[in-house]
Amino acid sequence: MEAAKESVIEASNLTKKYGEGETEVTALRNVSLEVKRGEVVLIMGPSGSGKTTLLSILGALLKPSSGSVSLGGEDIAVLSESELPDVRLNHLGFIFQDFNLLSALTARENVEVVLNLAGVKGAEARKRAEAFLTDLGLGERLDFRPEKLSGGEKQRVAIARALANEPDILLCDEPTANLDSKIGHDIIRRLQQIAKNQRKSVVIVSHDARIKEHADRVLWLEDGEFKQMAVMEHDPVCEMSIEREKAAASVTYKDKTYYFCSKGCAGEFQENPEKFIAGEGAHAV
Amino acid sequence: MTVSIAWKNLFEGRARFLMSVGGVALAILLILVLDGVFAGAMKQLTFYMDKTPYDITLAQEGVGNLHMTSSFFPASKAGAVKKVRGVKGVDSIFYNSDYLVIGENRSLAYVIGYQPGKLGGPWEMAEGSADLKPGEIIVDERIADKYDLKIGDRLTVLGRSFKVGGLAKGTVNITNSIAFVRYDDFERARGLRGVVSYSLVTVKRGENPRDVIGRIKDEVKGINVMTREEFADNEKRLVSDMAGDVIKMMNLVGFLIGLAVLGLTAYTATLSKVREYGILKAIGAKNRKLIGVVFKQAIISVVGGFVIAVALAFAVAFGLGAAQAGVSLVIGPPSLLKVILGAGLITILASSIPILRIAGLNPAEVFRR
Ligand SMILES: Nc1ncnc2c1ncn2[C@@H]1O[C@H](COP(=O)(O)OP(=O)(O)OP(=O)(O)O)[C@@H](O)[C@H]1O
Ligand SMILES: [Mg+2]
Repeated sequence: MEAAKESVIEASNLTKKYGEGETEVTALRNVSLEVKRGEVVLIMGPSGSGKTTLLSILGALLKPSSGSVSLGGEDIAVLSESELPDVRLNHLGFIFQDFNLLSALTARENVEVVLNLAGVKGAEARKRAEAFLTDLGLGERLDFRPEKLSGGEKQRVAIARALANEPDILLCDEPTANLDSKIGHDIIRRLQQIAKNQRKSVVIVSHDARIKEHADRVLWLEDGEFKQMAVMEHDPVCEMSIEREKAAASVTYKDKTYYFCSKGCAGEFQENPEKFIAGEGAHAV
Repeated sequence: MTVSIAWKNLFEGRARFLMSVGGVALAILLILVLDGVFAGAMKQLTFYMDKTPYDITLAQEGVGNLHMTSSFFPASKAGAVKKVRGVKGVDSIFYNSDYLVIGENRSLAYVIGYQPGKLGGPWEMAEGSADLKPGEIIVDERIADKYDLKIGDRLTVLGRSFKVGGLAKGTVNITNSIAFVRYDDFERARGLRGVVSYSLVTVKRGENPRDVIGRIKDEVKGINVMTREEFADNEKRLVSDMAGDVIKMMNLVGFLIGLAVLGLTAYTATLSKVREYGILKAIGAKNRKLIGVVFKQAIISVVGGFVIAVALAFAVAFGLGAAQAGVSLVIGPPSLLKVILGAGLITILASSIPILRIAGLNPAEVFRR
C-alpha cells in the first residue's frame, strides 16, 4: 500500500503570466499540486480560470513563470526546449477534447507513430499498437481511418496512443466535451480503470460535474488559484464516489473512516463491515 | 520500418500530390525538351564538319565558320598548304547559301561545290550516287520528299538549272539543308576563277593536326587555319550566342513554373496539416522529425515529377527519331545535370517556408481550439 502514496508529479508554487505590462494576464497564482500513482484528479473551474494553462505546464508544453514541476524526481520546468520532447514522449500521455488523431493514418498507425517516435519499430510497434487498441475494444477497427470512427472510438484510439509509450501520467483536457454523455461516461470509466489497474495517474480537466464520481480528488480552480478541494470518497456499499463534505454518513471501523451516500448504506455497512472491506480490497488491486 | 507520415499524407491528399508531381514534371519536361531541341539543332548544325573525315579547315582570313558568311581565298594558297610537311591532302570546296527554287517553292540550302571522289561531298546517300555528272545536284531525301522531287527532276540554284542526280541522307537541320553540286559547275555558275571557299586538309598518319597547323601558319600567310573541331565550335557558338538568351529565359520560366507549383502545393499541404504537426510536437516529436516529413513529401513529388519528365522526354526523343522529323531531341548529361540541380533547388526552396512554419509551431497551442 506504500506504493499508492508514491507521488508521480508534483507542482510547487506555479505562477504563469502571459504577456507584459498593460496586457499582462496572470493565469496561475502560486498553484501547488501533487498527484499520486494510480490517482484520478479532476480539475474543474470556470472558463479562463487557468485549467488548460496548468495542464500545459504539467505536460511540459509550457514553462511556468515561476515554480517547479517535478516529474519522477526531475524538475522539468528548468529543462531546455530540446529536452522537453523526450519528456513528453516517454513520461506523459495527452488526451484532447477533439481527439486530434492524424487523419491520414489508420487507428493502428496513429498508435504506431508514437511508438516509432520512441524508437520502437516495425512488427514490434505494430504488435504493441494492436494490443493497446484491442484492450480498448478496438480490435475490429485497427485499419479504420479516423473519419470512419465514431467519437467514442476516436477517443479510445487517442487513449491507446497516450498509453503507447507507458507514461506515468495521462493529462486530459475536456476529454468528454465532444462526446454524448453515455460515451463520455464510458471514456471516463476507462480512464479510471487504467488508473486503478495500470497504476497510471490521470489528471482530467473538465466542466462535466458527472466525472466527479470517478475521481479520487476534485480540485476547483478559480482566478488561477485552487479554492477548495473536494476529497472524493468511495462508498463501500453502493460503490459510488462522493465528496467527503457531502457524505450523508460516516462510520469509523478499525481506525479507518468510511463515508456513505446515504444512511441506508451506512446501516448496511455496520451490519457486516468485513463483507464490504474485503470487496473494497479486491477492487483496489 | 516505421509508419511513413509523408507517404500517408501524400496519399490522403492525392489530388494535390498529383498536381505537384505534374507541375514539376511539366517544368522539367519544358526544360529538357527545349534543351534537347536546341542540342539536337546544334548537333545537326555541324553535321557537315562532324561527318566529313578531315583534320584542318582553311578559310578566308577572318572567317571562322559557315553560317551567314562567305569565304574566298586564292586557290594558290591551298596549293601551297599541300607542300607543308605533314599534310597529306588538300581538297577544296565552294560554299554559298542560296535558295533551291523548286517550282513555286523556295528552300534555303547550304550549296557546296565539291569534286566527286574527293572530300567534302555527301557522306551518306539515300538514292543515286555521290559521283555527280556535270549539271547534276544532290539534295536531301527529306527535301525531295517535301517538294515531291525525284531523280531526274530539275530545280534552280545559283542562278542555274540543275538536274537532281541523287538524294543524300541526314543533311537537314532546323533552318536549312545541304545541296551538293560539282566544283566546276559551282565555279562556272558564279563566274569564279582561281579561288576556293574552304579547303579540307588531312594530315599524314602520326601527325598531330596542331603541329601541322603551326607549320601551315608559318609558311602560308593570309588565310585562317583551324582544326575541324574549332570550325565546328565556331559554327555552334554563333548560333548558341543568338539562341542562348532565349534558352536561358525558357529555362528560367521552367524553373519558376516548377517552383511555383511545388511551392504552392507544399505550402497548402503543410498548412492543411499544421494542427497535426502541432499534435505530433506536443506528443513528443522533435522538429527534426517533422521537418523530415515535410521535406520528404517535397522530395517524393520532385523525384516523381523528374522520373516522369525524363521518361517522357526520352520517349519524345525516340519518337522524333523514329518519325525522321526535321527536329531532333538530344538529351545529354549536361542538360540532365542542370535539371537535377534545378529540381534539388526547387525542393529546398519550396519546402523552406513550410519548414519554417512548422519549426515555429508552439506545441502548447494544441490545447487551444
Ligand atoms: N497564449 C496566451 N496568451 C495570453 N493569454 C492567455 C494565453 N493562454 C491563456 N491565456 C489567458 O490565461 C487565462 C487562463 O486561460 P486557460 O486557457 O488556462 O483557461 P481555462 O481554464 O482552460 O479556460 P477554458 O475553460 O475556457 O478552457 C485566460 O484569461 C486566458 O485568456
Ligand atoms: Mg481550457
